[in-house]
Amino acid sequence: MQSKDIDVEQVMEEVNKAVAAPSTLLADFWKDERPAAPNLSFIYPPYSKSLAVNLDLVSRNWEIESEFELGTRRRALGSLAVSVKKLTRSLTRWYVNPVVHQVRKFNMLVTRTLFDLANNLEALSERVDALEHEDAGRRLAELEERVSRLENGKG
Amino acid sequence: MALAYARPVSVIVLTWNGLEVTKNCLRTLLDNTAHPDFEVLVVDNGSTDGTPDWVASIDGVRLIANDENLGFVRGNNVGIEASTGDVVLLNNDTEIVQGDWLERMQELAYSADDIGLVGCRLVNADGRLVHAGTYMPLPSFWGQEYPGDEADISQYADDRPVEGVIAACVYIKRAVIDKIGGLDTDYFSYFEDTDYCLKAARAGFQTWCCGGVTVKHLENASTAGNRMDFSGTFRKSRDVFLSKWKTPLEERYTSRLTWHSFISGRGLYSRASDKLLWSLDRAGVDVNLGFLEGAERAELDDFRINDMKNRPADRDRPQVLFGPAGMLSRADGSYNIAYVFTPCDRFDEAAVKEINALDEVWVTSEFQKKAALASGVKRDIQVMPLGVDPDYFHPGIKSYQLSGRFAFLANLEWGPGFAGPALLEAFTDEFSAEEKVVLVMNVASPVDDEAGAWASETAISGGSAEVEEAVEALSLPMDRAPVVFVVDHEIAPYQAGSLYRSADCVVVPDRSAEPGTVAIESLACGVPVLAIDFGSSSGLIDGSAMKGIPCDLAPAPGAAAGLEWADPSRESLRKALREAFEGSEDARAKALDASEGIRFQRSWDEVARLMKERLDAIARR
Repeated sequence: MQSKDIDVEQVMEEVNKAVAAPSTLLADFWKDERPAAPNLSFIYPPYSKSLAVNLDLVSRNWEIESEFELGTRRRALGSLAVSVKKLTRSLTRWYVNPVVHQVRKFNMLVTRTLFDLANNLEALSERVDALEHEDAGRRLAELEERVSRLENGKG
Repeated sequence: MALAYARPVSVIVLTWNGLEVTKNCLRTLLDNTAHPDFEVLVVDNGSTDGTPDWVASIDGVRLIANDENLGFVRGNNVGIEASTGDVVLLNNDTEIVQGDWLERMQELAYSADDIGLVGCRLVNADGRLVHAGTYMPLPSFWGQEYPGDEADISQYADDRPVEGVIAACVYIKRAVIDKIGGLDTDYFSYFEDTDYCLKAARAGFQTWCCGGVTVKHLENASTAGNRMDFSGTFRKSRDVFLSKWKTPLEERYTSRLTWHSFISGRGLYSRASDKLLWSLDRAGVDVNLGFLEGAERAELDDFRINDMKNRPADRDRPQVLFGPAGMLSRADGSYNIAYVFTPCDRFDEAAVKEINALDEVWVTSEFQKKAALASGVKRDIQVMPLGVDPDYFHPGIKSYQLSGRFAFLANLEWGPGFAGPALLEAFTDEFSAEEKVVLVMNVASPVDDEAGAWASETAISGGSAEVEEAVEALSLPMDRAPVVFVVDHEIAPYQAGSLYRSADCVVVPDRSAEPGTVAIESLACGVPVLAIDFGSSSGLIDGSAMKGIPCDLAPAPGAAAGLEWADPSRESLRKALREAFEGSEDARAKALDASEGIRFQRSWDEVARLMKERLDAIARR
């Protein structure tokens, strides 16, 4: 999963496709509630899209929060509605907060695990690359030795 | 192309087995060469695979069959001795793909009396550019080729003088042979071509690379097919070369310098340093490297710069510190030069204090000079502008333009230093979905990640969704012209010109007073530019090829109190985008007109020449 340079030809091909059929990552998350702007497209590097970008999204969203700001769309009785919500929240806090805490803890552990796995995967990939390189070098040396023996008539 | 006067040429093809590649070489040579007066002379070095018999059966090919393998050098010399006019040495693992190759090389060879040898661009079997001249980095003396291995985007398309060319395809004028003879027989193979170019230079003949000719080179097919001891032969030849040229090559440097900066990264300092160091070396400046941060022990990919790193430290040289002001305290030479710029309208007090502790200051533009003077810099100030590499930024660089749609391109990092959100809002406000226009945002996520420790710990690059989340929060309208975000793509830096050429207008949305080289590189490619009218950009704005976006000034986040940078309004951006869209044809023509001047007046070689002049003046004190 090493980063590598990308050719402009490849990028412009992607841009062409994106103009024809816009796509975003977040649209997958929110497609029911918030349709993405159809004129916007996000192109990610081919080596990152499936894992790194999603990991980044996970890391941004694991920390769920129950104490968000309360509001209302009602003009009339709006402040009353907010007060009722605040009262409800304070009355249910004893039940909600421990659950939120558990979910946060779980999310944190899952996120950490995912990153550990990704880093382990990368380390393994590097190790495999190094071993392949080592093996190729060894095989080349063996072949060169055999060729020399043949050329010297000792084979 | 037709030559006014075609001189006779012998194309010498040396063979030693490898019948199949030889067949391919001769077939393409005979079929594709349009030159009216050439002969093909095959010198066979004792092949045992039927090559001499096959060559003898080909009409119009002269064969000289040696009884044994004389090696590359003596084999070619047999051919040179058997010819009477100019010669071309052509490897049997090459393939001719261009009908006028020989005319073009001959025309360049005779365009000046002091041009003696002409090489050409060589692409490998995959079509990647592997050769456009050679250079000899010191102290390793391990010869290298321009550009090494890059996708062919028509870089090095101009004819240009070079240190050397390889003998896989080289045109040699008879006048050179008459003066210095054939290849040096102290070499068996390898280094003989560099040696020959240096010898020709000593005799008063330059070596050029013909940018208009490309030949396919299958590379080492002969040695591979013949199981030759590549490394052993290479080492022996290098020893011979060192015994002849080590001292003369070391003596080519007439100035000295220690360069402290960021090297081989992707930021502005690194990219400018990489280009400048090459140009300084070509200008005869012996540079050794210091680093402003890290990398001291790293092995660098660039052979020439790696060699500079391995030269011994020398505190008696002038030192240039090219980096942020906070790192100038690293200076420890006998004469220390700060090469700096400010992103704001002035330098902050701490920076001025550091600059004034040094002996001299170089800045990147007249704007920066005024800012330095206004901030209280007391040292001698020289303007050393950032440059452009004309081999990679010119109107012939490969383009991948979108068909039927006008493309704005903006390169930026998502953060306060760029007017990214304002540009997006202006574009989507201004252009409807029916208009054939697109904004391509080539955007990098912020380096300083705020998402938490885990995100910053990840070793995987190109993985930030921060830009997408930030754009989503802007709640842009849905029914407008398209915007495509190219996020965190590590586009090969040498292909930047190709990216600019794929756009109809390059937008420079930097709020900084030194936005770097995007504008000048785009102009060198003949692409119109739209830039915020502030700082170094203002000096390039001419109202036609490069148009300015009016702006106010606003406090720069994170900078010292009172320092400001550009703050373009949405309205001014809208107006500028609309004008660029509607006046695109005129702007394109003007940009093409401006291209040549930019490429030659603002080349890195020209900047290096200015620097060398200054270094020589310092040395004379």
